[in-house]
Amino acid sequence: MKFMSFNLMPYRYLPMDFPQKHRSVWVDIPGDLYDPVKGNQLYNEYMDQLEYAAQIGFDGICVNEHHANGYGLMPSPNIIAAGLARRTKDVALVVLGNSVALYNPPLRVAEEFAMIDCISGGRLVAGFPVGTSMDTNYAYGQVPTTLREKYYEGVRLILEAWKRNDVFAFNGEFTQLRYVNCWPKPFQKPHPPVWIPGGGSVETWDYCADMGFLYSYLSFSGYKRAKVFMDGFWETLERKGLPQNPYQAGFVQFVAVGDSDDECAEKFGPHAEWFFNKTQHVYGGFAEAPGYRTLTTIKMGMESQQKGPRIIDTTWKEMVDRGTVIAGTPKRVTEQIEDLARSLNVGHLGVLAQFGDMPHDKVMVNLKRIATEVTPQLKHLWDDKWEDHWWPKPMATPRLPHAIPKFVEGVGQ
Amino acid sequence: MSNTLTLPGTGWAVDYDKLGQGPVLVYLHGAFGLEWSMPLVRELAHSHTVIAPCMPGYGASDGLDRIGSFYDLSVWLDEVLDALKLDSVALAGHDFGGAAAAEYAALFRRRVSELALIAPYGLWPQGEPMPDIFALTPGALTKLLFADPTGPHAGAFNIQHPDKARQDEAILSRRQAMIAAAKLLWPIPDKGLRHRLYRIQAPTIVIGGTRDELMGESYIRDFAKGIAGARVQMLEAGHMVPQEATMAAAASISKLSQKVPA
Repeated sequence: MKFMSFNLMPYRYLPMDFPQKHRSVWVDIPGDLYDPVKGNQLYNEYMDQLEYAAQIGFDGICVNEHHANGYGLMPSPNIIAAGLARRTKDVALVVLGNSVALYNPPLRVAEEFAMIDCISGGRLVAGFPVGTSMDTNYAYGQVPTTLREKYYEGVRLILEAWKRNDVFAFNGEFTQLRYVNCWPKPFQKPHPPVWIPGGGSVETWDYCADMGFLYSYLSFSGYKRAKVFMDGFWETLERKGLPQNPYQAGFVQFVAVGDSDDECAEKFGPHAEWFFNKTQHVYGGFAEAPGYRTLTTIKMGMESQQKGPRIIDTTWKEMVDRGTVIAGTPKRVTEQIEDLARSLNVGHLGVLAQFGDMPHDKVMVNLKRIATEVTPQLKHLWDDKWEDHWWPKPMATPRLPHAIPKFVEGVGQ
Repeated sequence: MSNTLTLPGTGWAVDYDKLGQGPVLVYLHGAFGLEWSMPLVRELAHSHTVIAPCMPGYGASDGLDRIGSFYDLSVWLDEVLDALKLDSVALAGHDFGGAAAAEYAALFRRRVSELALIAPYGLWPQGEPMPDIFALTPGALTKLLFADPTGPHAGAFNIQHPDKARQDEAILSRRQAMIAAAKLLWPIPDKGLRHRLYRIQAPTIVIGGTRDELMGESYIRDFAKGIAGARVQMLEAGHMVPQEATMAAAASISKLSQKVPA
């Protein structure tokens, strides 16, 4: 089992009365609520946390992409990943990911990911999400009905650009390039492992199954509510006669470790409540642009009475009871994560040890306890039967960053 | 009454209503679908043979997959007129259909004898941006569109059925309409029509609602300014003029086709 430290990078300084005064944390969050000085502090704290996670034994560190969003400060996860590539040695850099349809041309994603893969010595996981409606349609103006087609076409272009060494022409519906030439190429061959973060859409399950990509169900609602969606993916693989290798799946989970349930409630409860009650406050008009989902998918959702993934107005106790947050003593957390892994059949877990307005020092302690008291017990969970084909295969002896000498011969003193 | 024709080149079905007698008037509905224009269509049918097609993606009309621009939509309408064996027609449209009608009249200008644009999309106002119909909760949308948000028209538009199956059906039907409209109007409903308006040569009337919160009077007047000789008529209504000022809108449109004595 592989564990990644996942950081959403929330803006921790939203005013207490944000939900009363403002209609949405996403899309039209007011610009004057952002203080670049706080931005300087937060980016560096969050990158410290990811670097620390790498040092203390997490297998991967994980970043993602959001736009005009108060709980996700990474419009460009590649900038963060490039920074992390220089300050870490052997951890996987899981960029989860680049919303392919937003890049014009999507070849940009192929180039930047190739750069990160080379800088890091082959440690990149290439995530290709479609992206949420808020990010892609509202914040980035993409036509909802054609978003998915544009995305599929973009992924096709990227994979071809990575695999081929000839200069070729790409005549797509959305992108036309007379000379496709991705230079540099990624180190990992034929290309870095591809992970598809998604909600619970049938199209995504089929796509991952058919392409051999990893399916990562991204939701903040926790493992108990996720079961129906992960089962959908496994049933898809079964129907197609494919093995149900847990390493073909990923999941994310809020995790908090303390010495007792009461201590966890006191220490972590307010931050989790802050996350759900403040940063999940999104205006209903931005929930889903017309055409983001097909009529067929909407109809299926109505028939199965699926619940939306967004949780708001919740309490710590509800979160713990529903599995939205896994919290407790190291022993209790270990048991619950094992239950999660076995019930969802997942081999990769993105651990959210920072959530809401949790301050830096508290995150560092939480990370340390997870990495030393929980994950070591679970590392071997799938060893007996399964091999991870979706993990980076880095260089044996990469050139690492060197300390800059004080004096360089031949250069003026 | 409802009819279906098949376009010979593409094989696409076109769902259309045909009612009334007299000179032909082709009517293009707004973003939310034909049903919300039916009061006006019925009123116009007292003096015209009204042909009101569902645009691609609406009702049982297909072809939306291959419609990616107003140019595509104009070509579609041209083929619909061919299939109906209509040479030259009076053309009217509301909202999204208003933009489609203006685009068609600018492109295939010899085929349009008169043009009536009712609170048409197509331009982007200077200054304050237009509200975004695709970023509103259902209640807020109804409030934006109707001068009287508590009246029967608004009540019917703001689908609330106690029966879940009927409610789901209504939600899906609204969604289907919004998907088709968003394909061409996203993210800003300005696709360069202002550069083509001058080509319109049909006698034109641009009708607006005095209480339209989506398109104010200055927007309506700007629209008319771009078309040589276009007249403006402001009616007591919100954005949903076909429902809220049915009689007055029908009278204005009918006058357009009456020959003005020399």
